[in-house]
Amino acid sequence: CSGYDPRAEGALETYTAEEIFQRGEFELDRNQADDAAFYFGEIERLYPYSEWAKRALIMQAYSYHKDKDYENSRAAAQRYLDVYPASDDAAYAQYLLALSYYDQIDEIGRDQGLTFQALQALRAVIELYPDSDYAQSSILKFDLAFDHLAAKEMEIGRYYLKRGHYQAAINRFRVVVEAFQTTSHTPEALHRLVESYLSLGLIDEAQTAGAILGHNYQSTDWYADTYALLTENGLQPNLIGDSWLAAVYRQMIRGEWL
Amino acid sequence: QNFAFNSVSIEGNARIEDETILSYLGVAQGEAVTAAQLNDAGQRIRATGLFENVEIIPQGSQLVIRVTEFPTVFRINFEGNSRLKDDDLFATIRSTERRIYSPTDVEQDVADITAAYAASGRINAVVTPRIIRLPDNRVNLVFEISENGVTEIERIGFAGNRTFSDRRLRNVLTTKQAGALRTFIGRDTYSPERLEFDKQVLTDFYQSRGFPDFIVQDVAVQLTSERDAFVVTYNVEEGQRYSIGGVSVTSELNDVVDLAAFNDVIRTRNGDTYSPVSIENDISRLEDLATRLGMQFVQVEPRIVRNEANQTLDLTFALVRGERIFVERIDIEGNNTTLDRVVRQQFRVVEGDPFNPRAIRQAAERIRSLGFFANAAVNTRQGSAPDQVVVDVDVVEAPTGSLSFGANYNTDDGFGLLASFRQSNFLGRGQSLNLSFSTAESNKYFQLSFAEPYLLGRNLRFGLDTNYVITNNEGADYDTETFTFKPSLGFAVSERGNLQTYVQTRYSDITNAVNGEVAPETFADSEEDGRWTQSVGYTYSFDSRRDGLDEETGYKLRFGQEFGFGDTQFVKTTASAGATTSVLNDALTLTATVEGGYLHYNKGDSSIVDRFFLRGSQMRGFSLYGMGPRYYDDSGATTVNDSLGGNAYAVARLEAEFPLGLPEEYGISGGAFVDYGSLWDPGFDCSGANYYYCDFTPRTIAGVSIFWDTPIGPLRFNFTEALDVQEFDETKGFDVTISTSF
Amino acid sequence: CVERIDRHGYTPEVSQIETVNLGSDRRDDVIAKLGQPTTGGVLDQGGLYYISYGMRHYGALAPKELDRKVVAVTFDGNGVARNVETFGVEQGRVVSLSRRVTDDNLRDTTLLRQLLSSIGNFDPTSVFGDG
Repeated sequence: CSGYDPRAEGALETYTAEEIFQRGEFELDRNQADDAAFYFGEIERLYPYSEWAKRALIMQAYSYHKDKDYENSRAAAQRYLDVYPASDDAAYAQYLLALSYYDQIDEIGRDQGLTFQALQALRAVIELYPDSDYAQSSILKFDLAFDHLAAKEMEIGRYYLKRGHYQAAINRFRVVVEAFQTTSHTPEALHRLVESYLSLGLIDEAQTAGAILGHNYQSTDWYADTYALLTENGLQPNLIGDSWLAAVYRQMIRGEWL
Repeated sequence: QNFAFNSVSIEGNARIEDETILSYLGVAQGEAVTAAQLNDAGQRIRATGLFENVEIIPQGSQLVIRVTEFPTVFRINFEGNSRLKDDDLFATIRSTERRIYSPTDVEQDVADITAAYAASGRINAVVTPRIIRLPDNRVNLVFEISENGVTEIERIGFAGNRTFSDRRLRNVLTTKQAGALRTFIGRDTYSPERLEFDKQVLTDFYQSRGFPDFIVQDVAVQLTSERDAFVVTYNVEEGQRYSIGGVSVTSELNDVVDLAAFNDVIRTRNGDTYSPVSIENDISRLEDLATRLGMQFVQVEPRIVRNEANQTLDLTFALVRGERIFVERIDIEGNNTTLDRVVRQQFRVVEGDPFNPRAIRQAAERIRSLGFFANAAVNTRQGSAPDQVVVDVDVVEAPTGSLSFGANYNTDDGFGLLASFRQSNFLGRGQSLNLSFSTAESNKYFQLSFAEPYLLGRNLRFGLDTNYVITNNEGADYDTETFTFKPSLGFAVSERGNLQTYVQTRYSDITNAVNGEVAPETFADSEEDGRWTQSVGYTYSFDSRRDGLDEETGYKLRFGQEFGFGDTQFVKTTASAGATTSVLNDALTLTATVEGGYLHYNKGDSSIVDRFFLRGSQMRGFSLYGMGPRYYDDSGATTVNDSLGGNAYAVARLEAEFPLGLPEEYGISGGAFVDYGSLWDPGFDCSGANYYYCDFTPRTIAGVSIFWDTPIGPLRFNFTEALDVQEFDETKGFDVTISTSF
Repeated sequence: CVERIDRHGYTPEVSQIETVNLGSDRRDDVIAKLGQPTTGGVLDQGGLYYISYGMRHYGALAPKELDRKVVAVTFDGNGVARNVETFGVEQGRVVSLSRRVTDDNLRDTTLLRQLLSSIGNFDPTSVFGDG
């Protein structure tokens, strides 16, 4: 293709900031995000005082993000916040910073540490720029990330419940009920508490958990299970139609938990 | 006095906007401000690090802020660096292109670069930063570096060592003398921290060999006259060598304790040389016994009474009540694809249990031995209450699978296309899946093996191995076709032994053997059509090193039987026993292995495909089917040379592995071995002519090997010499294999 | 076969339990005397529960729980210790667990993703075989 190599030393010196900026936007539309990021970076270096440099910096952060290069996107967004903390794009820069953690959650779903960083960055957007149009979508993403953390506690709670370590399971489900009540996992956590307390013979705690579940989540399947358990005191031996072979198929092939 | 301004004018800022400066100023319009507050405002602006200097000048009702911005960095480069490349240097410095130039950062960068050079042995490298001013308040930043010479260690000496030689102690240290390949090896350069570490290594070495009072008095480091290398001398004081006197257990717990049970768990005996390692092992055995007996929060404290007279130490293990600490949570992080349970099930401790550091260490060991992680750090921190602990498991995942298409050259099977997908952490569930096929022209196969180590969450390993193999053998003039399907269940039967039980169905057929070109019995086998055999079996394996208290000697036992039922009934018994020990202070490792197998038919008889053939790993020095009972007839037009296999085999192998004196970094060591064994009894009467070696005829092979740890794996080059072999055996003098550890 | 028994949880000795005086001790006093509870109730003013039990691992069999001991300290409305009960596994119910799981909309590693990620890794045993 064209012999012109934009990355050669001083190749872009002759162009004005605006021309390079348009070239960057052109690359973005062709979704060559990494080239776009390079052009926006050059504007900042060649014309550090222009209004273009400011806009180029935020576009650079966006381009790196589009290219899934989260490290550089985070660095560029942070640079923007250092130098232009009061500008109107600061909210977007903070939002991009949060997204750089949040978008990685999909790829690395299992890792808890990353979800935590995403939550902190999203909270910064919500608290520092409450009336910006990014606050709303940050709140939505915050709840989703929060739900991921609750899912992790539930996963570990079920691990202990299945292996008969009821006290360890109870402690994990209590964390979900106390710290994560707004998430979608609370009804299940309450039902698991009923199962665990009944298994230990702590009947009145089981009834307390069942009452809370009935009071707040009356219409859920979980309450139906709890009601059945409490009324028959959970005496039927095991699920109907649950053969040993079906259990092996579910757990070994499909990787389910029980 | 205080001021009130209704307007602010900012001068001198080009890149930084007025609103930015105002947001840091923090003074609103018309607000009454004291001189001190004004000064703080100025301080806040300076703290941003964006400006060279900041002046706050109140002029009546207007506040003037005069700033001069730091220039931005246009380009950074390094001159004169050869040992450390530009990328390493870019990684160490803080200033970056396009950011504001900050003198404090540059100072820190100079210090960081010098430190990086010192760590790589060039302690007198000099770094000077230079600024080239450009128009529009931009600068180029250049770091001029003069590395001037590596300071290596010419000689390491010892003074005061009576029991161990300089050479032996030099082997123990991590810092090495500059050898012939000094430019490549990093560890012969002088670095102070490593010297400290080496002192500790020396102390541990002596203490674990009966010298409790050993100390390194000091380490003299002199520069050679040419000032380009060091001479390091450790002067040490060994002190007396102590051995163990009396050994006893006492209990300071209030509840009743059966001391006898604790006493016979201890391995340290009267007369052993004093060694902290064996005492540490005894402590872990005692604490394990305490937890097994349900005694909670028991810790064992060793109490040593020294009697100078006969240089013995009386050892008392005291059972004391440890303080009540509980495991509040076990948090696992960094597991991107691996499921939480795969790591968590390595813990025998459960959240809410009493905190037992030994159990946590053993769990960490099990997590590392999974082989899924490049790094698995397990450490503890205080939980929400002083007597609660949170266990943090931080893992870094490593690639656990390989997908390869390509060629496979094996000295026995010749050349072939190969595709194989191996994954030891399938879908992050800890399951292992190997799927491979090969079209090597002498050995086509399709092979699948799958394992789930924790079936239904229990410590129960489910395995499924199935393969379909077609061979047209070079070693013999007939083709074989075999298919096996073998599900198995394995579980631990004791702390160090486990049992695998399996069911197997197998199809075997011998085809297109030409009469007159093979042994009559083989031709008879090929006339029959394929045969299905069903069998059940078990294999018991014992490994003395499985519980992690690895003594110097380790021994292994494997015993398996397979029972065929239905129309062919047979009992196939295989057994192997081996022991390994390291002597001469871990320099020489001796390994002895005895292995045997016996196939007995009570209904039907063994065809060639069922009988044993010795593989290279069982007896070295022979090509495939190169030894054992043979039918040889060169009377006709074509000579017939048909290896018949055997219903019984027995092999003994003696091996020694020793360093070749090369520095360990090369990863090369030497070895010597002797194999003695035989394969016999083809299952039919072979007293006629042309039948050879049907009964027990031992062969002896000796050889030397070179072990080499290459990046692609530990390789073993065997050079073999046949000492006592039969005339028609087919030997080979050289072989390359993956060296398996004992 | 050799059995392995893992000990879990913690229950205070009888001598320690007797030091709790009902009607006057509050939650912190009980924790000071008996140590951290193994688990607690659903709500803050729920009881303090100490649980200890053994898990017997024997060959291929599922681990079996044995000699479970539960010490339950319950409190009245204004947080004063009301009753201390000790009971074993006989009061526990056999509960069949519900298999349903609240979806956590996290993508699991698919076979395809793992296949693609392992292209090019080289495994020496495939070339040299194990001889």
